[in-house]
Amino acid sequence: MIVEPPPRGFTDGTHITRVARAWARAVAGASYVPMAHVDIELRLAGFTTRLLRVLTSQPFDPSPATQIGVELVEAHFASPETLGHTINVLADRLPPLAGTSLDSSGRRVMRLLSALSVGYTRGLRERTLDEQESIRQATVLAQLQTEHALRESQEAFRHAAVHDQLTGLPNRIFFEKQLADLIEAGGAHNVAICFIGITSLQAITDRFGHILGDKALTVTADRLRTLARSLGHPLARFAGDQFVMLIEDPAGTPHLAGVADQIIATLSTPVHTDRHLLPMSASIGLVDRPVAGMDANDVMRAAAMTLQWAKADGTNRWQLFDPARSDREIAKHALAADLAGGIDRDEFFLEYQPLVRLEDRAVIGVEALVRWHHPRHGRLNPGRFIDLAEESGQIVRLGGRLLDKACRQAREWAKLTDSPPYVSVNVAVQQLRDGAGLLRTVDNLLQEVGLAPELLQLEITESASIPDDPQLRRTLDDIAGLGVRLALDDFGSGYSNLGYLQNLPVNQLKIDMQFVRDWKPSSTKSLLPSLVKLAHDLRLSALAEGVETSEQAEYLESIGCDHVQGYYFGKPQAASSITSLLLEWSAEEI
Amino acid sequence: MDRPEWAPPGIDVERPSAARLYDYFLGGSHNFAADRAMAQQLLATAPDIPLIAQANRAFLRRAVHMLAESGIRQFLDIGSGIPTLGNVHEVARDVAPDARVVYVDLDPVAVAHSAVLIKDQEGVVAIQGDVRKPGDILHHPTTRELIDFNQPVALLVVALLQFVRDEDDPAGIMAQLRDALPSGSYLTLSHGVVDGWRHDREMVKNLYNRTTTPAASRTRAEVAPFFGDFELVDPGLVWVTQWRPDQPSNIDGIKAAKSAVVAGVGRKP
Repeated sequence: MIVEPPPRGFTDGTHITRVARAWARAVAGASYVPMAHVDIELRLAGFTTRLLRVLTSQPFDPSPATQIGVELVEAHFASPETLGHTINVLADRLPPLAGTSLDSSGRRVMRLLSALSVGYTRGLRERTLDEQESIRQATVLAQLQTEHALRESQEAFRHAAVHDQLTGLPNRIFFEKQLADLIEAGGAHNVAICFIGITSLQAITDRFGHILGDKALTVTADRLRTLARSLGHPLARFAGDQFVMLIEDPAGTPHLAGVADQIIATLSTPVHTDRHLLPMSASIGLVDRPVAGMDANDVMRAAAMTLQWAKADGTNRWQLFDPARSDREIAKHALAADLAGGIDRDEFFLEYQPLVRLEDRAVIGVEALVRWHHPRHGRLNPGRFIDLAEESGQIVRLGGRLLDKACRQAREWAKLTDSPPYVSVNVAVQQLRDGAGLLRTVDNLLQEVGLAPELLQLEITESASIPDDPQLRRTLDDIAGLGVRLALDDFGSGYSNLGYLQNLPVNQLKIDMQFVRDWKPSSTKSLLPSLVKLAHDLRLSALAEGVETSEQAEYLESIGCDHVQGYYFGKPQAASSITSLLLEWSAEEI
Repeated sequence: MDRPEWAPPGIDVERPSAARLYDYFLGGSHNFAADRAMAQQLLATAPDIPLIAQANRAFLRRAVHMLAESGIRQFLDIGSGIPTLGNVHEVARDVAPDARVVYVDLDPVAVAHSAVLIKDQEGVVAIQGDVRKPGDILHHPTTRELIDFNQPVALLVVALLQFVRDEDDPAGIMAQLRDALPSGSYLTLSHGVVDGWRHDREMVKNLYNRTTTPAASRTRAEVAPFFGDFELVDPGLVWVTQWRPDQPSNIDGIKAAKSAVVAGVGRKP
């Protein structure tokens, strides 16, 4: 074994520093080293010292240089270029420092740098692999986080889509899905819908504005939420001032009634705000149905309808769904829908009921009464459809048609006899409101048909609006001005402002049939004489409606009633029957 | 846009990212094939880029060191990128072990990587944020938790604004960020500029435009206003290698004017 002398100047710090500085310059820019330049030189000086020690070790063992190579990379002197420059510098500078020439120690230096390169490349490879692994993991993590964030944002988005912003409650979409799921699952036997309307809300909003309205709604929603939680029933804000509670398998109607009472009690507590005490009220519609075969739309429609019934009942009421009532309302709705078409198809016709003068039992007039020949339901009396026609506004068109028919019929009878009956036609308030239109219609009709105005009578119902409405009054005056007769129908049954009667241009009071019906031969109390006298005092003729017996007729005659109408004197009948009647009479007179 | 507006930014390792390119230029391996392919193209046009990246990174180290020594304990590093080497918290905590750092980056991978790297280190966090929405960064709960905006803050905007185009209003962004800082805070900023750039400017810009963050080209004169009324500390806004260079300074890898990056540190009066 060759024993080499110790390197000359081995402990000389300035030599080491010089080598380190040359090394630092050589590797500058070859890799980023996160240190101040001073520290870089110090670090490289440390490596230089250790490498010299390895180079001059006895016996020579290059293996520690492998570790130094690893440490170089760890200190971030890490790039292929750094290794190249390092080998160059060290091969040049180390041998003189070791006190040997390159030639003499060439083999040792080569083995040293070879060991260093092995450590260095191993370190670089490890570092690369570590970094690749860490970036891969970071990517996976980032992907997971992104997916999570996406899910959360989707969740938030979905939540927003199915929840009400103001109250935070599930909204209608959510509720309908919940109900549909429940029906589909079929787990429950029965399900009840508790449809809640906050009836006071509209008034609060109208009076105090939307901010306070929203406040009242939020407080209400919170109260309902607390109650629903304690009861364990899902709750949703259905729309505007409507909430809905879903009750699975309710324990019978008393149970539902209990829930409804609780809700109403909870909601009817006034809401305090900074400056106001807002009175609250609610109505509830309840529907309890078997889940099997349930149609979600159908059950919600029933719930909404029941809520309307409850509202119509008064404040703080609930109603249980009633299928029979529902059927009636549905039928009524369908009938209302048929009205316009019925008018177009001329399905309405008139029957006439005699108006008889008591004095000689002569038919001095007839009242035209409308009937509907419905294609499916057959003949319908006005009780079934007049309200619908008024609600839908079709009454004006229908009224016009009937007036036309009645006038033409009156003209027919006028041709037939010397003392023809007048025809009395009912006119709705809505027709009167269309004042100029009605006046024009009547005027044109009289001209066109050639009917004497006194052969037409319009019957108006006692109405609260007539005395206060100058427009209506003017219309009545104008019609009376045409020479058309006017009668006040159903007198005494409704609103009675006797004062206005003095100035109303009517010719006849038609005393409501109730007074006749209530009269008995034994009666000691009856308003009939007073009503007749009232008519006469106002210089009007008195006509009693609903006369069905001879006793009634005789009594009415005894108190001076002028005219009568009723089954005893003739039912409503076809125009042809009246015609026959008239022909008989005129034959008798001859 | 195939992602809805409310969806978080996605991960696309097939598309090069500025953060991973920067890592590659610093000699790191936190990058993917797409990044390396792009890096090779950039190097073919501008072989000095690794040296520029190193010089910029060295500036960050010197500046953070100086700030920590000046007593700053809170650092907000926007556009922190992949934490390759010599991260802000390491440099700052060398001087002040209680220094707190919030790293912000747009790249979800960079954020995830930072999060793993700084795991279990109290007072250091990484959040995802877009400098174009400074309000989101400033009001991020994590930012608010770690940084007390009543105490001086060091805001680091290093080699970031060249990726914010004029239409995104970098001046307004910087004003909003500066306004959020209390008196005695610092802005540390470096910016790639076209003054003295010897390489094919358009080519480099076009290449970067294919990354997730397209580049803007500005001059030194256009960078200065980003400091607003902050008072630049010595030596002012200079070439990145000239900002308080290390001694001895004869081993910098690149000459000052070739660095194509200007840098400075300003203090809020």
